[in-house]
This record gives sequence, structure tokens and C-alpha cells, in this order.
Amino acid sequence: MTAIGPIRTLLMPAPLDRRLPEPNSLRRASDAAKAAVAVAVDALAGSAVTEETGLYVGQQQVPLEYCQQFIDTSYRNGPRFASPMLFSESVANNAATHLSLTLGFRGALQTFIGSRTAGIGALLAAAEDVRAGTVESGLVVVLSFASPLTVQAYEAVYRSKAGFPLQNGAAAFRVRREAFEGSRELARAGLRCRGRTPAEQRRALKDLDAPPGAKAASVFWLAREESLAALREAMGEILPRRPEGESFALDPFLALSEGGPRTVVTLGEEGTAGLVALA
Amino acid sequence: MGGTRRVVVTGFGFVSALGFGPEDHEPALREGRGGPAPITRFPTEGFKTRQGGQCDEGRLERELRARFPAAALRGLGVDSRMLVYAASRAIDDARLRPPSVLPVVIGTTLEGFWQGEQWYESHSRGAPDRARPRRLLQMTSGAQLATLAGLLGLPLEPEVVSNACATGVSAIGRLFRRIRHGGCDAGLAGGYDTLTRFIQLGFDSLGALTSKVCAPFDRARSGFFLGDAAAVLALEELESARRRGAPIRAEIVGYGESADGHHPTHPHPEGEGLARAIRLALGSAGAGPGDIDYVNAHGTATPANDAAEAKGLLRALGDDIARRVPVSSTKALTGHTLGAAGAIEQCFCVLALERGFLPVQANLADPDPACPLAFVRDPRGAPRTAMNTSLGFGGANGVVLARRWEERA
Repeated sequence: MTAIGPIRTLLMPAPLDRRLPEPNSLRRASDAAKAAVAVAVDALAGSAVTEETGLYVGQQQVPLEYCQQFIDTSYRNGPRFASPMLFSESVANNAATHLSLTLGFRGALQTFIGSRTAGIGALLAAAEDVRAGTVESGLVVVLSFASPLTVQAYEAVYRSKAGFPLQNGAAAFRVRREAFEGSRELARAGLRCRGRTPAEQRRALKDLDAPPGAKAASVFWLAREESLAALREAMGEILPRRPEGESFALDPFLALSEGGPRTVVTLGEEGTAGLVALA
Repeated sequence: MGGTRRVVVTGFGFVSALGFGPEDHEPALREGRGGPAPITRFPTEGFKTRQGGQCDEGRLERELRARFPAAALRGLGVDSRMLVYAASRAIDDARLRPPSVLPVVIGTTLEGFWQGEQWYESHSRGAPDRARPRRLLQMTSGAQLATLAGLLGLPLEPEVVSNACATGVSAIGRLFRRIRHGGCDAGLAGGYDTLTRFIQLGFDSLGALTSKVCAPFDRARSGFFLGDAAAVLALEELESARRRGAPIRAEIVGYGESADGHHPTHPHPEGEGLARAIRLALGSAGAGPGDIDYVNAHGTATPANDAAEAKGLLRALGDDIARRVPVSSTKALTGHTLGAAGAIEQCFCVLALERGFLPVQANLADPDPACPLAFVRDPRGAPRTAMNTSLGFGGANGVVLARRWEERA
């Protein structure tokens, strides 16, 4: 079996520094990296990190806040003012780096990006490695941290003047081969992508073959009606939009952590569909 | 570790500043021919370094138009185009006709940042109407893979990894393990990244770029240049490949990965993490240091990387063997292609194993005594086992071992 531990979550705003084991070493880190460390500590619950512990981070976006600062500064003031610190904090595996440095991960270190199924990709990779015995256990950390630039970009693409709310936050849980305290069995997880049209999205959802009772955990706030229709057709029910806003790759794990459905499905606006089913 | 299934490479596709596929790359690798040119994609006034390795976008367009309708390619950035080229070539080369779903593990550090960068530049100049926000629809790697799925008409099982400069080998390692342990029979793995203003500025600010030649392991090395590339390999379980009579180019026999846990941007100075990844790769292959016939090193030509990498090789392989195994870094020719680096360098290893040669170490005039390795000066050779190493920001290390394809009991 593959057992996943209780999903610990941390939603922003949160007093991050108080939750960090070494706040000083993370003083220049992004909130995303700080939240990753804080929620990882919570999920590890004192269990040791060894070279046999894999770390799997899933996030749709890279840390855009530092990326934007880096670009703004260097564009406005010239290339001479480009900051190496801002640049190194902008890379996609930045949270994994801080987790490794702070908590001592020395084994497999993987970051998954690119769509709102990135968290499910991280879970899949951890489950595969644990099953194959290439790691003894895994820690999955899922992040959603948007910047004002994210909002501007979505508003521009979808021509929305109203904007849409975003909820920043993180989730973490352990993955092991045998049951442990508070764990649940992972029955199935999957990813599919057939293309970007609504018809292709519908087929990708169908490919996942979601069991009865599955719920769609994540719907893009500006989703086209066709995408929503595809989701309704495949799932029957879409969980109500969170009033705090959407959380991209984090949404499926927020749904699973709240005593909600045992099976959730998510559909990215670009057409990637993902499913997580707990026994 | 389990896993007894054998994993073979049945096809590949790749593009870089050196050209397209094996025909363009093999002569360059044998002769040590290549290097940077002035960047034309974006303005470089005020940059410390103004050179890079851009792919031939005109030829890329022609290559794609020969296979896909023009309308389907409209709006795709150079990153998406390179990815589509490499993936479609790999599928054709492997004669892969997946019956149901095709797992794809792709690595990138920048995704479609080129599109985002252009949008943001227009947007921040106060010209939002001319910013063409639809460019952003191709910015995420998820969208780029969805485009690939649509163009190929194939259902994909998509995974995008981003482990800084170790990304390409991470992607290959993930798919290798999955096939080996029975998770799937075949799939695509690789990486892509594009030279953009943001990334040039970033590495420029770190002082990692050179305005001279890129001279890995040389005493006077001063950094690398950045380059475009995409590289995708078709990996398949051996019996599955045999059943369908697929061409077999090489066998992937081992993979190891580790994290330094040392510094956000610098490798461990003693190469500890790399040595651990090498040992894990050797262990997973059931091989020993003496089995390695060629090392395609990460070799970024920065003072810190090359010295640490040499120490890692010495530590893992032992002084005696490490000083004898032929080593080269092909980044001297392609530039550092970031998320594509490990993948295109794996294609070079496969090419070297299949065609019987050693990629030479270009631009090495005065080897650094801190890197006491046997650098390839002469392309003649017939390596049987090649090791591909990658080191990335955050201390991520990945090592892939590949073996020349030969039938064995």
C-alpha cells in the first residue's frame, strides 16, 4: 500500500517566523519558502529526515515576487543593478532548496511545476519512489503563492476588470509504504492532458475515470463555460468556490484535508487534469 | 532497489545552437566546433556579457512546417517550438505509436518565460494594449505540453520537473525508474529552455557568464554562455521495444540523485553530494567505477563548479580510475542550456555510445591542476558505458548511466 499522512495546511496570512526552526537563516527567503518550511515541520511531526527521505515539491508558479523585483530593478535602473540575491530566490526549486538547507534533506529532491496538477505530480512521484523502494519515505509539499503580477497576467489574458481572489498557502504530508499514525491509503492518483480545447479537456477528464462521488476540487475562477460544463459532465459536482480565493495546485489538497470528499479532481485552464483518490 | 526490467533508448530528438539532431551535432562534438555568438533576440546594452547560443529559428520554423499546419504553430514561442520539434522527432525516431496514454516527463527551468518577458516589457512600459496578453497563454509548461498533446493528437500523462540545472537528468531519471519498476512501458523524457533577457541578466549578475570562450576545467576558465536547447528521448522497456521491432540506440542502466544541503547557489566544495549521486547511480546499475568509459561532465566552466565536480568524481570513482576515465564538458560548444542541459548531454552520450566516438573537450588550453582528470583530446574511442552528471542550484545532483546497446543474456 501507499499511505499518506495527515495533510497539514497553512493559509496566509500566517505568522511565519514564529513557526520556523531557523528564522534567521530564512530571513531573506520568500514567503513561499518560509511557508514550505513551516508546513513541512508540522507534517514531519518530529520524524527524522535521512538520506532515504525524498522531498517532492509541487507548485504552479515560480516565486514571482522576487522575479518581478529583479526585473523591475534591472529594467528601470539598468543591468548593473540586477540583484544576484533576487535572481537566486526566483528559481523554481527555491522552496526545495530552503527545505533542504533548513531541514537536512540530502536525498531525492524534486520540484514539479507548470499547471495546477503540479501538486498531484509531486504526490505521484513520491508514491512511485516509495513503492519502488528508491526512498524510504517522502515528504510532499504543495505551494500556491501568487504575486500581483499573477493577477495582472490573468486579468490581461481573460480580459477581466474585476480581478479574482487568490488564497496563498501551503500543504504538506508524509508518504510511506505502510500505514502510520493518522495516515490514509492512497487508492489512486493520475494525470492526463489531451490538449487545450474544451473537447480535449473533456476527454482528459474522462481518461481519469473518476469513481462515483468524486468532486471537482478546483475550478479556475475565470474558467470558460465550456470547461465548467466539461467538469460537470465528468464529475457531477463541483465543490463551491472558496470565498477566500483559489489556490491553484493547492486546491485539491485543501479539499482533501478538510474532511471533504475522498476523491478530488482538478482541471487546469490549459487542459491538464489530475485526480487523487484516498481509500 | 528491486526493478529488474531493462530500459532502452529507442529514439531521440534535439536542437541547440549547434543545429538539429545527430547529423549537425556529431561533427561538432567530434571536432570541438561551436561556441557563442552575439545575442540578437533581445537588446544587451549594459550587460557585462552579450553572447549566447541561439538556435536557428528560421530553420526551426521550416522543420516544423514540414510536419504541422502553419495555423497550429501560430502564437507559439521559440520554447514551445523547440519542445514540439524535439518531442515529435523522438517519437518518429522511435517509431512510437502509443496505444493509450504516453507518459511525458519534461524538465524546464524557465517554461515559456520568453513570452511572459515580452508581455511584461510592453506592459511595464505603459503600453498594455500592445502587450498582446495572449502570449501568456503559452507561458506555463502545462500549456506547452497541452499544445504538444494537441499537435501530436496523443493523450499524455504530463509531469514537469524543475530542479535547476539538474532538471534534464531528473526528468530522464524519473522516467527510467518508472519504466524499470513497472509503472509504464514507454514514454518521453527530456528538457527545454530558451535564452531570455531575464536569465541572461540573472547569471550575468551572479558573475557566472563569460565574455570570452567557455573553457571548462581550464585554469583560466571564467564561466559559461547561455544557450537554447530542447532534447527529448524515447525510453522503453526492452521487451516492449523488441516486440514492436523498435530501433534500440542505447540502454539506460542506472540513475542516482542527491542534494548537497550546502548552499543555495554553490555546489559542495568537496563534491560530496555529487559523489553520493554517482555511487547511487553505479549501485542502481550494478556497476563499478571501472566500468565507466566516458563522463559527460556538467562542466560549467565556473571556478567553483569545475573544481567541486572534479573532486566529486575523484571521491566517487577513486583517484586512480577518475584520473584515467575520458571526461569532457560539451557546454563549451552548446553553452549552458539549463533545463535542457542534462537531456541534450544524455543525447550526446547515446550518440557517442552508438557511433563509437568521444566528444572532445573544446577550449582546454591549460588544464587546472585542481581538476586532475583525463580530458578528451581525441574523438577516437568506443565507449561502452557513459556517465552523465548534472549539478544545479540548491545543491541538486543527478547522474545517469547509459550503456552501448548490445544483446546480452
